[in-house]
Amino acid sequence: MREMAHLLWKKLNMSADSPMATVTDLAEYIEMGGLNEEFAWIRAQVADLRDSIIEPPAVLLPAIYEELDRMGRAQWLRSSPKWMAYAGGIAASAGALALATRTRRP
Amino acid sequence: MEVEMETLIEAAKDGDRAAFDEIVRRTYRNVFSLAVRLTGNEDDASDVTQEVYVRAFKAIKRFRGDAQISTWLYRICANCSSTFLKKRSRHRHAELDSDSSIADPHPDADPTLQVEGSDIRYRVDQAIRQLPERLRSVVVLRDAYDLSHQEIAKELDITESAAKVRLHRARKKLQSALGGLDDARDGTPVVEEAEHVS
Repeated sequence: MREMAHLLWKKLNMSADSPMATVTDLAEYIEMGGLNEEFAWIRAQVADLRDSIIEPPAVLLPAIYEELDRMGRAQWLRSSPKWMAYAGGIAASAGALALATRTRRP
Repeated sequence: MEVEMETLIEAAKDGDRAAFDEIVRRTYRNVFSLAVRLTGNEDDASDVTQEVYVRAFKAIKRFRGDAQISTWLYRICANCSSTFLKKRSRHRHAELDSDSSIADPHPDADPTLQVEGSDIRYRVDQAIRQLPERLRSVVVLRDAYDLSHQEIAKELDITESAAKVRLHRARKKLQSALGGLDDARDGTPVVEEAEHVS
């Protein structure tokens, strides 16, 4: 297998960042089909994990809802023309105040 | 009577927040479990799970229903975990590489866990947690959550070939870690259909 992989590897001239950059990598890749059966037991055990629930902390669900609320509010604020006008007004007032304060400074 | 998931999805697409909340309530345990298996710990998994639903909320209108919503959420979870783990690894000084031993040098001293240690599922779970992140993600998504190589490659931002190679290495490491258990199986071989890499 390794000899075959070596020949193929030379022919393909794999680049260094290829997942099959070495002869060993390529040999493993070629062997995969044959090893599938050998891995059957492992695969069956890993598949069982899907039915095994890890209970989340009690605070997680409220935290998700809270984050969605916060995001929903932020989206509404961004999309609201009224808010944009209001925010623009505040920014203009703050700018004017800053300018006035700076002018008075000795 | 519980509302059908399809009805909830359609309502959520129309902007019904209560419907989206119900989708979250029905799915978050499974998403959290996947996140724990991808990140290796509950704290990181909580952050990832939260991010999954933020992204899902933003993208629900684009959910076409080609796959189950759980599969769609698993894909988002894989992507969020991958991004999270990349960020986390940048802040670490020492990182395990793919050739590191699976064996845990610091076995948990919790007596409850030691009792459970005799359970095969527990040991499989522990062996997966000990895998390097890049291998763990692929084997969990493929063998436990049944994502295709193409889906895994897309969400983890790797090539399909890389996904296959990592899967192979992960299985080899698991086989090595659980070798004794394999011998103790009940003698009923799992029938596999002939395939190249699955």
